[in-house]
This record gives sequence, structure tokens and C-alpha cells, in this order.
Amino acid sequence: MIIFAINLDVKKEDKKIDQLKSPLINKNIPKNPIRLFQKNEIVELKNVYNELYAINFFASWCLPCKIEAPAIKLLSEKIPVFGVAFKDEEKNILDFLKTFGNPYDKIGIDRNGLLGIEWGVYGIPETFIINKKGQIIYKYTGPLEIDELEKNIYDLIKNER
Amino acid sequence: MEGEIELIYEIGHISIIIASFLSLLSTGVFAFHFFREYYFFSTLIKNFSKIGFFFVLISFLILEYAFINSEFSLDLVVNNSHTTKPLIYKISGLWGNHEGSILLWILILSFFTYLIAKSKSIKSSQFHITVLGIQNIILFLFCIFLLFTSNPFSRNIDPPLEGFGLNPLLQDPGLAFHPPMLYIGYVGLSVSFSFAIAILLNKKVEFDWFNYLKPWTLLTWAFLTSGIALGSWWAYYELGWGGWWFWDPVENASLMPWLISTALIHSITVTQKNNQFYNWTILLAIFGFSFSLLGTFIVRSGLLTSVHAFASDPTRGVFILIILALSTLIPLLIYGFKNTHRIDTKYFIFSKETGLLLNNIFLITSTITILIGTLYPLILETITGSKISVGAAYYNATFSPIMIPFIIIMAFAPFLGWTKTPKKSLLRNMLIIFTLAFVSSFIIFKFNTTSVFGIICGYLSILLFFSVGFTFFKKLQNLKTLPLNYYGMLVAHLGLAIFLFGVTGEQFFKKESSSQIKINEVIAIGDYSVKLENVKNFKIDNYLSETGLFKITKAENFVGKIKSEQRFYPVEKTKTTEAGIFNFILSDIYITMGEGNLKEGWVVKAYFNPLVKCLWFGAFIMAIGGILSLLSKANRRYI
Amino acid sequence: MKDKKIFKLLILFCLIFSTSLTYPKISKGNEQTIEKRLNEISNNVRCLVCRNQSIYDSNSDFANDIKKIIMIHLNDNKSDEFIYKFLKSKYGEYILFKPPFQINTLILWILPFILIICGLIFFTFKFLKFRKND
Repeated sequence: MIIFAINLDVKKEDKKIDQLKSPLINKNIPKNPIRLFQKNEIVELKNVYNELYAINFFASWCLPCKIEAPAIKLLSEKIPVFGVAFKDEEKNILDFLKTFGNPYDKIGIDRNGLLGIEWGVYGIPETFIINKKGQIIYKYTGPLEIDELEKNIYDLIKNER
Repeated sequence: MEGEIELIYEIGHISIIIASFLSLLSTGVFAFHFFREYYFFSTLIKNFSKIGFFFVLISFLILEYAFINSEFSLDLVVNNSHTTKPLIYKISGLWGNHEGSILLWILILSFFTYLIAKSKSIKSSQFHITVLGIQNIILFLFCIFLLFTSNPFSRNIDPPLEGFGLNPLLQDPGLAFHPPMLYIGYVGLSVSFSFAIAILLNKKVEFDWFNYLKPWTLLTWAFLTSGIALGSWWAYYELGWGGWWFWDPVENASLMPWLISTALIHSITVTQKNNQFYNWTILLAIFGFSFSLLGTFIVRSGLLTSVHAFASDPTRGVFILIILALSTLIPLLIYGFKNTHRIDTKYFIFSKETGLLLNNIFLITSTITILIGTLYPLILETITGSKISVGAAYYNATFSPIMIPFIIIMAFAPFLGWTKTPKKSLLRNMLIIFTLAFVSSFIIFKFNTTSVFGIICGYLSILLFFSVGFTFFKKLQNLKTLPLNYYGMLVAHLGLAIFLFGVTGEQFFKKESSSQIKINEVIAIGDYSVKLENVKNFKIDNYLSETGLFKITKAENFVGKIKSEQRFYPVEKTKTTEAGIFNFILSDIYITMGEGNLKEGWVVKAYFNPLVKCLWFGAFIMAIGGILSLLSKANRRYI
Repeated sequence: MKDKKIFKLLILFCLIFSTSLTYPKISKGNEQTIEKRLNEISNNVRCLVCRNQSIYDSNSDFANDIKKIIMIHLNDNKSDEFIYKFLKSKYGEYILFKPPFQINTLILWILPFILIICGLIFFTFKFLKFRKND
């Protein structure tokens, strides 16, 4: 009975999207190499970055991705953001980037969604932040909001630097 | 002209307000009488209850009128109806949402209160008043819940021209009847609750209150059985995933009161016979209602993820939580303080009473098991923040094993006598049916399964079948003199046997296959071949359909044609899958067609579900058994 | 005298019932096709973008993707446990419908059996007491 009451109180606080706690937090990033968009290269993220960076799974067909574009832009001003086009096609990706801007340092492509699964992605957009040691220290499911940036992410970035 | 029409909906609103005042007054009468014991209060409370019902009825009918006329100045109608909807779904749209379903609850509750008020058979005035008083307290609480948190009559100053339609999944005859039946069951439990509290509060009255309890509990049970079965059947043929029970929190929420009411019926029987199990009966009646309220709470609070859940709103959740807490704690306190009934155990170990005692233990244990399974993710998340899922795997590991000894005892319970049993005849009867069942299951099932559970389930269902049959056989001479409620019992138990038989077939012997096929290609299922003959696209009513036409053959012989479709409803922007079901007498072939195109073909899943009809047929028979008992002379005179 | 008879009865009962357990051919594992395994596993995995459905029941993109990866692992001869562990490592315990058997779920798993045992103890006590008064 009491537990119901507590839980109800907890839920009353406006939780916009139910964040599922990821088991990948504080673990090393998945080792899977990523194919770069429009380049004939396959990279491993640990060789690309040795500083704090973010990775953002997006797609042209995903409505919330369009909504979070400004927030991602702001994030990209603080740390490099690696974008992963999730189950998308070249022409559509180009259109998307033209319309909403390209905040990404580099862009990878995940044609069949299997890379996303390795990262525990279930509903794009999803954004991860990785530290210098190559560990995932933060994950956000759903369109990133400026609110979230200000509340959690900026502090996180400051602490990790 | 417009002003007049608009006024009618305000009347609807006011009606409920009046009804709630009447129930409040009734409560007042009850409370007052409790301290003063004036007998004219009896007439007063009965009249208030009866008139209250009429006001609720008016309110309900007015709301129904609003739905039929697509009166979009009412928010509720806007959110849940559409001008293109067929009439019957406009009508059933009233209860396909939270606010409307609470009004339906209130309607049924006040109707039952009305029936009790009208009853001429309750001999103790004191008792009668108490029961009505408690019913009215509950009624009042629900009315203010409706008025303050879930008002179906909330108006829109600027009515839109069109409603948002009802979920296409809910536009189905099976589903139209599922909520009312379930609610009759849930509300019926409030009656048992009131009776139990009434006897606790009126200890001085020497009264065979439990005889009055029985018909109401039977009614509850029969309707819960039908409601649950209807929901399950609907899910099977409508939702397109071929399952009939998912251990979804809302499904569990209806199963728990069902188990408790089953235990209650059996408990009352013992109390009627020998005055034993008195405390069991009272406690079960109290908790039955708690579980029914819990069921309501879970569905409406938004705390649990479920396909069924209504739109969630924490305030509503809190309200029901309070009602739930009050209705459980206060009776328990009353029970603790006022229950001085001590009865000596008057029966031997090999007796019906023992069998029924074990019955109670098993039913209650399984209910609590389901409760734990349903609530545990919630509890864990609140305390530790980690999320887990409790699904079928858990219940199969915990609920199903408990059911095995339960069914075994149920099978030989008819051979136990009241108070004591001659051992020899018991032994002989048991041996007969166990052996018969053993041989028959050998013949029937032919061991086409790799599951131990499957064999056990099949064996138990046949065992139960023989138990009922043998009992009937032994009474063949006195068929005419057997009371109707004895038949009711046999029929109900038979229903369960049929149901289990269905479970065995569908769970353990089913075949499934899926493949991507183009037109004129074939998918095999068991001994049957299913060929996709054609795919058509067209528009009907309020949806677009892509339909696959299939031909089923068995070894070159034509068996039948069915179709399966993918539907798209533009207004609600939802897609549904309509399964194609080819019916044999007891089994069926179930086909679903997924998405696809001419080039690559379509993903088609085919299932062969043996004995699946037995599931619902069995449940239906159980419900009939309950109704038969209800209609017997023994029970009718107590309504 | 009475006790002996009851005892004999129980033995007989157990014998009859146990013979029924010997006749089914219980062969698991090797005869299960990949498709059957896929179906079984899918039934135990939750569709994270649906409201309480398994990926077996769901046709959503997510469900189909997960089914794809399960197939890849199955074709790679991986065991059921490996696949469950893999999914758990990426998505957490929530994605599996069978709750784990660990310390924080001990109550969940054990309580039903404790309840039955309590029920049976209660039952036994009732009759021991009755025997005494007999």
C-alpha cells in the first residue's frame, strides 16, 4: 500500500520519457567498427577520439531527431559529436543534414540497425557521452532537450574535463 | 432550441450529483440507525437506495444518448467517438474509456443496491440496513470519485466538428460485452463484502447470512468467468498474435478476484452445510472486494505497463488507493475486534471439508503468487530503481505447479463425504478414475509432445473429466431428485476439465511455421498446405485493407479458404492485423499476414492450434454451471 | 490399522502416477530447429517500444531487428543462455520476461513455495490438534 503511494508520488513528477537505465554505463564502448558515411572507411571509435565526446544515433525518418537538432548543435559546441545514421539512406541523410544542419564531427552509418543493438539502442534518437578512457558515462533516450543539457550534461562535461 | 438540447447533458451531470447525495443520505441513515436502532430508518434507506438507482440510470442513459447523437460538446464523446462509427460501437464507446466505465461501475453498483433494497427475503431488518448502508458508502465514494476526478459530463464550450474516434481494435462485438460482464463480476464482489461486514457489525443477530451470500457470489463468479473468457477469446481472434493469455497485469487483475470468488463459493458451501469455515468465508469476502478494487486501481493508475491500460492520471490513482486502503484496513480492524466466533473443527481428515480447506489454501496461494508477480516489478523499481520484467516464464514456474495438486484433489473431492468418508469406497473410486484417466490419456495423446508438463496437463484434464462423469454416473438413479445446484457444480467442474483439455492441446501440441511467400507459393503447417492465392487492396468504411486470400489443402484435398489482412485506419493512424482463422470443430488453423510486396512476398505465419476452442467453450460451460446453481431453488429464495 | 491402509493407498497412488511419467519420449535440444528456438526465445524477450508485448508478438521495427540479431547468433550456434545474456548486457534485465534469480528477486521466486509450505503446515497442525482431542 505504502509502496504504491511512494511510487505514485514519484510518477507525479513530470518524467517526460521513461529512461531505461542502461547496463552499458561505466563500461567500455562496444568494440564494433563503424563504417563512415560517404567515405570508404571503417573506423574504431577508440582510435578516433581520445578525449570526451558524444555519439548520437539519428535518422531522417525520425521526427524527434528533427526536434532535438538545436540541442545537439549546442552540445557539439562543447564536445565533438559523432553522428550515426540509423537505418537510413544516403539521399535522405543528406537532405536531413541540409535542412537541420550538420553538428557532427564525423558521421557513421548503421544500415541494418545491428550496430545500434550493440549499443543498446531501442528508440532513436539516443545520445551517449564517452569519457577519455573510452567508457560510456551517460546515455539519453529520446530527443535531447536543452533542459537536460543544462541540468545534467554541462556539469558532467565540466567534471570529466 | 440549442439551449434546450444542451440542458439535457447538464441534467445528466446533475443526476449523478443527486444520486451521490442520496447515497450519502443513505449512509447517514445507516450510521444514525447504528446508534439509535429506529426501525423506520429501514424504509428510509431502502427508498433512498431505490431512488438513487433511478438517478444513476437517468445519468447513464443521457450519456448514452450523447454518444448516439455524437454530441461533441461533451469532451468524453469527442475523445471516444466518431460520426462514421457504426451505432453499436457508439453505444459501447461509452464504457471503452475511464470515465464512462466508472459510470458503468456505478450503474451496476446502484442496480445491485436497488435489488438488495427490494429484497423481501432478508429477515433481519438490522442486517438489511447495514448491508444497504455499506453499499451506499461504496457508492458514494465512487460517485465523488467520478464527479471530482473523472467526470464524463465535462463540457466543451467550443465543440469540434468531429470526434477523435475510438481505437479500431475496440470496434468489435466481443469487446463490447467484455467490460460490462467483468464489471458485473467486480461489483458483485462488493455485495459479498457488504454482507460480510454486515454480519461482523451485527453479531447479536442470529442469522443465516451466508445463504444470502451464495447467490450473489455465484452471480459474480459466473460473470467474471464469462468476462475473462470473452476478453481472452477476443484477444485471440482480434489482436492477431494468436495468444489467449499473456499474464498482463490487467489480465492478472481480473484473474485474482476470480480465484478468490471461487474459493469463496466453496467456503460458503461448507458454512452452509456444517457451519464450518466461518472465518474463511468472511475473510474471503472482504479480500475478494479488495482484489476487485486493486484490479480497478492497476488499470487506471498508469503504474504498470500494459496493453490494456487506460490513460493514466496519478490523482485518480491516489483516490482509488485510498478507497482500497480503507476498504481493506477498516474491515480487518472490525474483524479483529468484533469477531468472536470460535468454531471447533468438527471434521476428520478424509472429508470434503478437508478437501475444500486444501482448495482454499491452494487458491489463495495461487492468488498471492499472481499478486507478487504482478506487483514485484513495481516494488523493486520503487525501492532500488532497477527494472525487471515478470512474464509467462515466472507464472509457468510458480502458478502451474501449484495447480497440479489442486486439480488432483479436485478430482477425488466428490468421493469424499461430509465430515468423514469410508476409506474403502474412497480408495476404490480413486483407483477407478485414476486408471481410466491413465488409459485414456495414453490413447488420446499418443505422446506427440516433448513436454512433461504437457502430459501432466492432459492427464489431469482427463482425470477431472472422469471424476465428474463418474460422480454423475453414480447418481444416475436419482437424477430427477438432484437439486439444480448439484448439476451446477458438476457442469462447472466439467467446464474446467474441458478448459484444461484445451490448454493441453493449445499449449503443448500446437504447431507453428512462418515464411516469406509470394503469390501462388505455399507454407506448410502440420499436414496442411496453405497457398497464398492473391493479395488485394481496397478501402472499406473507415479503413484501408491489404488482404491476402489463402487456400488450405490437405494432401491435395481442398479444406477451405480464408483471408488475413493488414488494416490501416487513417483517422487514428493505427495499423491492425486481422488473422484468418479456419475453424475445425475444436481446433483451428490460424494465419496472419504481415507486411510485404509483390516482389519479395509477404511474411506469413501459420499456426495449427489443436483443441483451442475448448478453452472458451470450457469457460462458457463453467459460467453456465454457475448460473444453473444460481437458478436452483436453494439459491433463488435468498435473493 | 488405519495408518497402514492410508500408507498403502498413498504408495499405490504414487506408483500409478509415476508410471505415467515413464511413457513420454522426452527429447529436447537436438531436435529443436532454429526456427523453434527463435520463437521460444522471442517469446521471452520484451519489445521495448511496445506496451507489454514480446518481440514474438510484435511487428515493430525494434522487434524485427532483435529477431534478426537473435537469428545471427542462432546460426552461429550460440546457446539460448548466450543470447539472453547478450540482450541483458545491452538492454538490462527489463528486456527479459523471466525475472532473474538473484538476491533482489529472491522473495519473488521463493515466496510462492513458502506460502504453500505454510499452508501445508497450517493444515497439518489443524489435524494434529484434532487428533489429540479425538
